[in-house]
Order: sequence, then structure tokens, then C-alpha cells
Amino acid sequence: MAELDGMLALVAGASRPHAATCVRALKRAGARLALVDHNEATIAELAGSLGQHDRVDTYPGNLSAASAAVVLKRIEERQGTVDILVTCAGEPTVAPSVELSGEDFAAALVSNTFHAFIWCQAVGRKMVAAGRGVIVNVTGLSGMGGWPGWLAQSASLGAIHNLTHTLATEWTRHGVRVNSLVPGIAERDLSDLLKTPEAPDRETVLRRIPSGRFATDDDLGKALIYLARPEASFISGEILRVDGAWDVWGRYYAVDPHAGKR
Amino acid sequence: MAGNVLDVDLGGQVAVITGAGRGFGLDFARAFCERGATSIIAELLPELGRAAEQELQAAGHHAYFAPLDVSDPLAVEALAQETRARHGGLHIWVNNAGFARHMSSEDVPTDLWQRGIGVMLSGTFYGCQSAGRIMLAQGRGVIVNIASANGYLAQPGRAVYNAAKAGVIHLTATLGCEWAPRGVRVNGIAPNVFMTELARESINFAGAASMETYIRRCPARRLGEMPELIGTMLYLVSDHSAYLVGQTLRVDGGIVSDHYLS
Repeated sequence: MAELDGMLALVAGASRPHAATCVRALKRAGARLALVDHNEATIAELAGSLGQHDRVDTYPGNLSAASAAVVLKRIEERQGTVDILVTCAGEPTVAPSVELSGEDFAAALVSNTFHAFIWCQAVGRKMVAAGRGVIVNVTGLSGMGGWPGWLAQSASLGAIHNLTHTLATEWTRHGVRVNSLVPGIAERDLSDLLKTPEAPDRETVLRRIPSGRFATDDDLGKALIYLARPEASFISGEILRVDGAWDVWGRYYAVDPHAGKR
Repeated sequence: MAGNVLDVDLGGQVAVITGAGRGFGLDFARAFCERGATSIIAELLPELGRAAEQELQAAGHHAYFAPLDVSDPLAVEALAQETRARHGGLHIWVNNAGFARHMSSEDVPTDLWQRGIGVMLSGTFYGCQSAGRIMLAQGRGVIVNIASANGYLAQPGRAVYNAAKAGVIHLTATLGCEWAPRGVRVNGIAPNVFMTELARESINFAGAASMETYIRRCPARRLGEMPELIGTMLYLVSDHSAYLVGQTLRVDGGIVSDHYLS
């Protein structure tokens, strides 16, 4: 039997960078899926790539609380109660902070923070009433601290981490676990990193990762399933980084993480 | 409160600074003396301690060398009691003694681990405890623990130092909470690299970044200058910080905030 057999997972922001990885992992674990995004073509394509269409449905959604409520109602009518909510952060806008437009900053707060909020609230309300549920907010490493040139993403994801903490303090007693999952730097993230002077090339980025390799889809997928499973039943309010020790490394001191004897 | 923190009057106050024979410790002792305090130069190495005493006394200050191994709780207690008896009180205690060795963790001998934790973590606790007993009885007193930016970061080859300093940060928070209601404030300072003799030594080991790299990775793009640390110390020991409790202030040019690639 698969790990999440028959459970319904709602993935909000299903066209976003890490969503496909999460969706495939949930599907492999046996979950049924409700994919929500304003980008209908992309999620239709993603759903099509999964096979077994009776267990995957797609829903167009907009960035408003009203839309989330309407979409959730349709999901419940068509597929039943949502057991797992996964919200995914969007693409970063990378620019020096002195040049970042107010519109881009506000847009990140809406597409990341507000997006997480409306889905956590809409689905969380039902989960709290039911006395059970799991929420995983998929964010990014820039939400962990200062990332020069990533202001909009960093601030909006940092806010999701605090949202995660607060919701956990409110809802965990009602059986609803709320956690954040922070993907490590994957090969596909390079193009965004390379927009900043701190990351001149691929090798520089790779040397920055103590694990010595980029994150894989499996790294993220396994962590997501772990958080969704009952094995993690006492884990709530956690910010789980699957980053090969990127974030803890105070790299200023050494040439590379493997300095010293091997 | 009016006035510049650098002009604070410490007249009539008695301060003990551990590891005050050189580096940060000596600078703290001098800064206290220059503002009217009596400084006890607690130092493991007699030649350093005596030289420091001579230097400060030659400048007309009330400064006295006291031999001390901070990892010996009885010796720490004896110094605290003796200081109070001889100088009529104990108002400021700075736990500064420490040392850094860099070594692959698998090669760290047990005695090095015990010495590192014994001096920097246990030694800080003994200082807090012995000074704290006197200060709690007085109903007033200030303790400042010198942690390190490294206490917030992971670095290959620095298990002993970084673990000890991380411990100091939490010890500071705990004692700060515990003793604040009784008039004793415990706070800390977490410096990044300042231009001391010890810094020059420790940067000069195999596997360390060059000074240029080191500076480039610090958001301030320079090392700290001693007056910048003195200002923080005077802030913490004066009533300017009367409501500051259990905190470790990072005086690090932004290094701990930078989670990116610089």
C-alpha cells in the first residue's frame, strides 16, 4: 500500500517552480490530487503527465480569498475532504534593492505571502473544524535570512515562515499541523542566482553547498511525504530545510566546506 | 537617558574582565578604567596580566592583575569574593576568556574539547554564577558574556569553538531571564573578526580564506575596529541599556544576517 493512499492533497500554486516535484511525489505516494493555479494550461499539462486521471483534478484559481473559498467548495464537491494542503511559492524577482520597483515588491507579497495565507485560511478553517489535517508551505532559502538582490522574495518568504509559526501555535491543538519546507538550491535555480554578482558561475554556487551537489527532486519529494505522514505527527511549526547544509554554513571563514583533512 | 554612551561615568564601579591580558579583554579593562572604574585584569598567563597591569597603572588607572584559570570554579569564586572584599563591591563582570583552535573534528582530542568547553562555556557559567551571587545580594550588577558570530554559524573545523560560543548565547539568554527580576542584567556580545592579534593568528591557518576573501564576504566589506566594540560594551554595562536583558548583540558587520553567497 502506498504511503498516502487515497488521501486528498490540494496543491495551491501548482504551476510554480517546485510544484511539479511536490505533485509527482504526492502522486507516487498514492495521494489523490487537486491542482490549483491561475495558469490552467500548465497544470493541465502536469495532470496529463501523471496518468490515472480519475485521481487528479485541476482547478483555475485567482489570488483572492473569495476565489479560494469557491475553488475549495468545488474541490470538496468533486473530490471530498482535503487531507493535505501544499502551498508553493512563486518565481523570484531578482534585482538590487535600490532598483526594485514597488510593484514588484508588492507583487511578491501577494503571490507568495498572501497566496499562502488565503489557502491556509480557507483549508485550515475546514481542517480545524474536522480536527485533523496537514499543511506544508513550500518556500525557499532566501526566506531564511539576508539574500542580497532577493529582497522581494526574501521578505515574502520570511513572512510565510512566521505565518507557519503562528498558525502552528493556533491550530496544532486542533489536530492541524503546519510546517514549512525549504527546498535546497537545485540546478534549475541557477539562472536566478546567476543574476547577482555574488554568484558569477555554477562552480561558485556549487562550492557554497556543503553537500557538494545540487538538490534533487527526490530530496524535496521525500521530505514532503515525511511531513505529510503520521510519522511526523508531533512536528508542527517547523521550518524544514532540505538544503545540504547551505543555510547553517557560516562560510566566511573557510575557503570551502571541505577545508581541512578529508 | 542623556549623554553619549562613550562618556558614561563608571566612577566607583568595580569590574572584573577575564582574559584581560591582551586583545578584547585588555581593551575592555582600559575602557572601563578611562571612565573611572577599577578593573581587575583576570588572566591565565602571568606575563600578559602583569604587563597589562603595568600599562594601565602607568596611565594612572586603578587596574590590578589577578591570576585566573576560568575553568576552575573554585578559583573563579575566590576571585569574585576577594574582589568584593578588597574593593567594596562588584558591579561589572565580563566573561571574555577564550581561545580558538582549528582542527578537523574527527581529530579533536578529548582534552582539547574539554578545555575549550571548560574555558569558554563552563568558565562563562562559573563567572556568571560567582559574580551573580554577589550581584543578586547587592540587588544590582551587570554581566557581559563575549560570544562570537561563530555561535550563530557552522564552520568546518571549528566544532569546539562554535559549540562553546553557541552555548554562551543560550546561557546568556537563560540567566538574563532568570536574574532580571532581581536587578542583575546578563547580556552578550557576538563579534565577528576584529583586528586583534588572535584574529591574525586564527586567520592564518591552512584552509582559511585569505584576508581579502574574508573581507569580501562580510557585508560591511571590512573587519571591525576596536572602538566599535567598546561602544557596544559601554552601552551594555551602562544604564543606557537598562531594559536590555538576555540578549547577545551581534557586532559583526552583517555577517550573520548574510545567508547568501557574498
